[in-house]
Amino acid sequence: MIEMEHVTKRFAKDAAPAVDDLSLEIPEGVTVALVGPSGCGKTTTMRMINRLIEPTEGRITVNGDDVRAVDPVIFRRHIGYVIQQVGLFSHMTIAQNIGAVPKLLGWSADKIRARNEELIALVGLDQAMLTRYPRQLSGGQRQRVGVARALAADPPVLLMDEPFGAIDPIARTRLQNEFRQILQRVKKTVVMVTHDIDEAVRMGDRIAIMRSGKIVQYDTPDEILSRPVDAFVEDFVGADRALKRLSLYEVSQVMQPAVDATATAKIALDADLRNALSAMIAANTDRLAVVNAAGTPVGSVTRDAITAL
Amino acid sequence: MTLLHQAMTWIIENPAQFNRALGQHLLMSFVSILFALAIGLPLAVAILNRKGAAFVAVNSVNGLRTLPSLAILAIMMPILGIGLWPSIVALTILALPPILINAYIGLRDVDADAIEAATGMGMSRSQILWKIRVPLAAPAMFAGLRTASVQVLAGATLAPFIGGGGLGDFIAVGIAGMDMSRLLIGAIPIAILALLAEFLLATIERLLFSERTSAA
Repeated sequence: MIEMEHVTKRFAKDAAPAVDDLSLEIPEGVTVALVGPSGCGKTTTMRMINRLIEPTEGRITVNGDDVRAVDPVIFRRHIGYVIQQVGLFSHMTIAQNIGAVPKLLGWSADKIRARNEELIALVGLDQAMLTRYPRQLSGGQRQRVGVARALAADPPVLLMDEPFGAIDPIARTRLQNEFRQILQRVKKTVVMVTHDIDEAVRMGDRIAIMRSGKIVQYDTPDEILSRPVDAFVEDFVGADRALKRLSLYEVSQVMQPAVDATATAKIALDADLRNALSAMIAANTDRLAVVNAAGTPVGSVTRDAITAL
Repeated sequence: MTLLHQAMTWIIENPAQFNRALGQHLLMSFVSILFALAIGLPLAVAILNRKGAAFVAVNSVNGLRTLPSLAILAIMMPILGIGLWPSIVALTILALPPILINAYIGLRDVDADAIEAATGMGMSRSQILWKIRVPLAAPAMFAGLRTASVQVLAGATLAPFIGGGGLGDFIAVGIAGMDMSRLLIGAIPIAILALLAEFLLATIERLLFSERTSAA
């Protein structure tokens, strides 16, 4: 649980605040995406949590502890940190990179080795990678190592600064989906900074939309997409927000169990509704047969059921 | 060919004299490199976070570098007299610029993302220096050592002018007596030493750093 109370940051005395009287409560185990145009203060907000930036005013607590009351260097060892360019240490092997924080914490070599093996599997890489050097890995593999490194000492809180920004668009979507699953499995409180609303929708349990150092709307992706509070948010989430919202739901959530023999087109049970609607438009139909992984029809979905959401 | 032959013959007939000069040359060069490392590397660390001091230090050694080696030797003479030590001081000054500047720039320009990640994961300033900056800057430091070594081995040739001895003695005598074969007794081993040092250090550099820089 992270609480920010009336936090303000001014980089110069008479300058406009980068973060302006911001209050934010992030419950335990929840992933929050801070999103907004560049210069909105989202990165500053995140960096104040692990004290890479000191707030000018206000109070920040992590699991009840005031972050200003603890030694920042020791404190940061218990907060995972992932950055866009990963920042792997190129003179160390992948194993040494992942084991960096455990080593700082004084774990035994055996415990570090066991943890490395566990983590490399968690992020979907081969054990053989552990003995390689960062330059021998692709961009996507490096970012996986970056996440493994951040999770190494099992910190309750994870901060991620544009973690997918340097990855090509095709690999990005796959990595986002995979990381979403990993984050759900490890049950961390995650604060993620991004300028990409699609990424925020895909990754966040909640989204905080920021503008000029303030939070304009803090809600679930569904709420943000269906009920933007003002013109700025509406504009920021995009004209296709209704379609984006459909991608939050799976076919299984609106399916009727009755198998419809007249439906000509098919859709998978775990497909999202945006794709289901697209399939209807493509087939010029109002109903689709829903099939499971084995291809057996298990129900049907109608256009009305989708648009009624 | 006869000149080379004469030179070789002289070396074979006067091994003691040749070995003494070679020993002096190597000793002078080695000690000055050690001094330059002992001064340059800590100085590079010390000026790392002090912009003003870094500006002064880098420009001072650069200024020293523009002085011809012979001039440095000549300046040393009235201060330190003649002999081995003034030569070592002069050669240390010659070796300092590449060592200091390479180390400083190497430490300063370390991958900013690595520093950001190290800070964010909870490394202290000294841990960042010793575990991240220094190892990442090591190849640059090594390159400085290579440049300095070649410069010093060649620069030591001028030591005889202030009584420092070394292989330069043969060259000085050769020039004075218009004796080409005598000149080669000094010149060829110096060239070989410089090439050998370059080759040796390049090999060590490859062994030390190749693994981390090779691609998949």
